[in-house]
Parts: sequence; structure tokens; C-alpha cells
Amino acid sequence: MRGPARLSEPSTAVPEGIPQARPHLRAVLSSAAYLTGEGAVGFWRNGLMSMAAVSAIVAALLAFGGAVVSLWNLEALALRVEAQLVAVAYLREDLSPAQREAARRAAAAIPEVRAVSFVPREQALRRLEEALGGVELAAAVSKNPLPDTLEVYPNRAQDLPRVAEALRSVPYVADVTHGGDATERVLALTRLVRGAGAAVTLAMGAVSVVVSANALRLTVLARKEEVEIMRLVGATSWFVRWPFLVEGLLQGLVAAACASAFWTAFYPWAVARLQQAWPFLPVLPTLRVVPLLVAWLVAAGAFVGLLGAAVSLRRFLAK
Amino acid sequence: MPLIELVGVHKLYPSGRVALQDVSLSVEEGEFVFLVGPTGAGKSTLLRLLYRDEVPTRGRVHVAGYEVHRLRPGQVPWLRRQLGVVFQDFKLLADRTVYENVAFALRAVGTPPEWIPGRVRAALELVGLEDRADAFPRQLSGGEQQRASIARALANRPRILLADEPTGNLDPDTSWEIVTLLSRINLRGTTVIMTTHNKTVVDILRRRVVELHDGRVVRDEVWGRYARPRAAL
Repeated sequence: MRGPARLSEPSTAVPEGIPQARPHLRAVLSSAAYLTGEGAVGFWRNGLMSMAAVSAIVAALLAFGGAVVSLWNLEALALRVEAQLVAVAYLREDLSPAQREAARRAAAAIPEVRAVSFVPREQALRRLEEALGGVELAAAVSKNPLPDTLEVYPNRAQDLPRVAEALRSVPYVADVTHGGDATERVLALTRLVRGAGAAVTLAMGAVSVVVSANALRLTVLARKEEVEIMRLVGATSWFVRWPFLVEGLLQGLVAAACASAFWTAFYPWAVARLQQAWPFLPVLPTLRVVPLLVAWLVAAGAFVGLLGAAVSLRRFLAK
Repeated sequence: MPLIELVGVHKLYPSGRVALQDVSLSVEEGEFVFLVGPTGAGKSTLLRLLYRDEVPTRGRVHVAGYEVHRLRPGQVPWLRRQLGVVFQDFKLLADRTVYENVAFALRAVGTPPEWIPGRVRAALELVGLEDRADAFPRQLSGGEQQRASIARALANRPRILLADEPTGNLDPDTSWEIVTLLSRINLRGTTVIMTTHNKTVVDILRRRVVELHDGRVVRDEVWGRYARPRAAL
């Protein structure tokens, strides 16, 4: 093994013939079961420590859940507002039914268009009367001054200007309007709401990871001696890591269960309260929010627990 | 080749302290070696290089066929399974019994569960602690705690036992007890390297003595005493 020639060889530093103890599957499974048990035992044995870590993660997950719920509701609100954005095409007067139908078809054929509805001039007048608070306009004017219109709904709100442009070349269309600046402002607002919601949610997620990593660091520190001895007698990094990862995962999942229980109870209550106070405010129904939220919280809890444990273990295994 | 071999080893700590300078040493399988020298001479550093708690700044370290100086971190556990290490402060887990402390070490290296009770019992019998298996470390005397830590070091049947001041915290009688135990373990074929300040045990046992001074090997005698005879100074 000695001598300069030997040194320059890119050989492994491990002697030949010495078994690397690649263990049998049975031994691996038995170790895995043992380590998982150790992690679970650690979770119970470090009762107070686990409580502290779980509480910290619960707090982070509650905030995260709040951010997610707000994001979803704001998104729904934004979609609702955007769905009301419409381009209106005024048709020329005195069209035959066939010509009106041709115009409707041509409008519906524009690729970005989701739906087209034909609003006859009589209906438009009635709407105007309602909007003015029930004034009898029909009696006041000798002839209905309003034209027939097509209300054209785009697939996506931001397609609206393009749809309006395309409508101008549809046959029998006299004029087109799509709210112009107002549309732009609504779109800017919904963009802002979405961006801010996503940013807050991401920030809450990051805070959860930091909080959990710190809480789990306490768990690792409490078992510093065990880690030292395991490494001294020749435990592999994975062997050392596994119980902590299990413990972190358990802490994350328990925290997720607590946070889920809270949101399952709180969301319906909050929705009922909000709708009492502001009946016109669109709020997502419980059944559309809670199951998905629970799934998110469980995933986030597991992720945060594992990542927190891995981060806090890193310096122990660095050597 | 020797079981343990250091060739031209230098160890410089990041603080700038020179712990070892040009140390070359070889130990054959089955030897019993006392490492002596004043505090700060580099004895503990030398042991730490052997189980790769430290890496040499320069030079080569071979242990049980492993080229320790260029071992990747992932390979370290396999080296450590060839070694048992014992410390002055025992490093027993306070919340586990003697049995559990030894079993913990076996578990950590993936020993099949059905082998563990037999291995633990054998190790405890070897050190004479079979009656104290269910005691917690705080219920044991210092000598018993050190014997428990020796049992843990031996449970995995290593070829080499490294003992860093194992009698440092013990009274003279207990120290003697521990050293005779190490001597018995050596007779069963385990190579033992022990650092010590205990002049009495070294002078009575008359084994190989390697003396370090300021990080250099200044003496290496087969039937050595703790200190160089006056006439030779």
C-alpha cells in the first residue's frame, strides 16, 4: 500500500477485500423499521421539545393557511370581476334576422371569444329603464333610440382589447366599445391583488420553514450526544439522519392536523359572518376551500418538517 | 503491512498551533502501546487522526488497510467500525441503561436485531458488568462507567481499541483495574493504543511506550517506562 507510485493512483482509499458491509435487504428493512421507531420514540420522549416545535409550526401553518385562503378568495373575486368585462358591438339599424345572425356568428368565430349574446334594442331599453330606477322611457320617447347589440365575452379579460379590435371588422357592426380605461384599471387591480396574494403566501411559506428549522434545531441539539456516539461507532450519515427526519415529519404532520382542524372549524364560521355583514361579497363556499386547504396544509407541514430537520442536521453531519 | 502506520504526519490547526510534526509510527496487529508525554504534546491529536476525527495537514495515515488521510466523508463510518474508542469522560448516554448504551452502538452499525442481546451480553461479561446491565450510568461508579464504555467500544468486535486518558478521572485502584482490563482485551488479540499520564501503570506493565513532545516522537521503546531512565538523559 505504500510508496509514491501507489499515492498517485486514483484508487479508492478503502482497502480491497474488506467488506463495505453493503447490508442485505432484510437488514436494511429492519434498520429502517428501527430508525422509524426511534424517530417516533424521540417525538414522544422529547415531549416538551416536540410541543414547542409543533406549536411553532402550527402558528406558521395557520398564517400560511390564512394567506392561502385569502389568495384563493381574492383570485375568485378577481375572476368574478373580470368575467363582467365585456365588449359591446352596436349593430347597424334595419338588419334582417339573417344579417343579425351572420354578425353574431362572425363575432363568435373570433378565437379569443368565449360567448356572444344578442341583446335586442327592446331589451336594452328595458335595462336602461331599470338602471334609471324604473322610469317609463318607452312612453317618453316616440321611437326607441337604442340599437341592437352583441355582448361579446372574451376567454380571458386581457384579451378584451384584441376582441374589440376584431369586432370592428365584423359585418353589420357600426361601433364597438369595451370600457377602455376602466377595463385597464380593473385589470391592473386584479393583477395587483393576485401578485400581492402570491407574494404574501410565499413569504408565509418561507417563514414556516425558518420557524420549523429553528424549532427542530432544538430537538437535534438535545440529542447532540447521541449523534456524536452514533458517528463515533461508525453509523452512516443516513442512519443518523433518519430518526430526525421521521421526527421532523411527525412534528410537521401533527402541526398540519392542528392547523387543519382550526381552519375546518373557522372557515365556515368566517364565511357565515362575512356573508351576514356583506351579502354581496363573493366568498368561496366551505366545500370548495377546506378539502383543498387541508391537502395543502398536510403537504406544507410534511415539507416544512422534513426540510427543517434536514437544515438543522446539516452542520452535525458536515464533518 | 502494519495494522497502523503514520508516515511523515504533520498536523497544523487553523489557529496556527502545530500539534504534530513529522510523526512516523507503525503498530503491528496485537500490540499494546502507551502514548505518553506532557499535556499538549499531541497525544490526543494523534488518536483523533486514527479514527479520522481530524485529517493530517501533511503525511499519510493507514489504519486497518484504510488510507485514512484521503478517506471521503462517506467512507469514514466503515473505518470507524474497525475501531473502538474510549474517552476520559466515558460519553455514556445518561437516559439509557448500560445494556441500552451498548445495544445503541450495535444498532448504529446496523447489527441484525437478533444478534444484539448475545453481543451485548458477551461484551458486558468481558468487562465484568453483566450484573449491572439494567443500571443507569448515574448509578455506577466511575470505574464501572468506564467499563461500560469499554464494553460499548468492544461490542462491534473492532480490531483496534483507542483509549484517550481512560484512567484520567479514576482513583489509583480503579485505574489499575481498567488498565488490567485493557491488557486482558489486548491478550485476546485486540490492538490497544492508550494515552496516559499515569506513571505507575506504565512502569508496572512495561509495554511499548511512545513519547511525544511538542508534537514530535522523542522516544519509542519496546519495554518502556513512563519516563526515560535518568542515565540516558
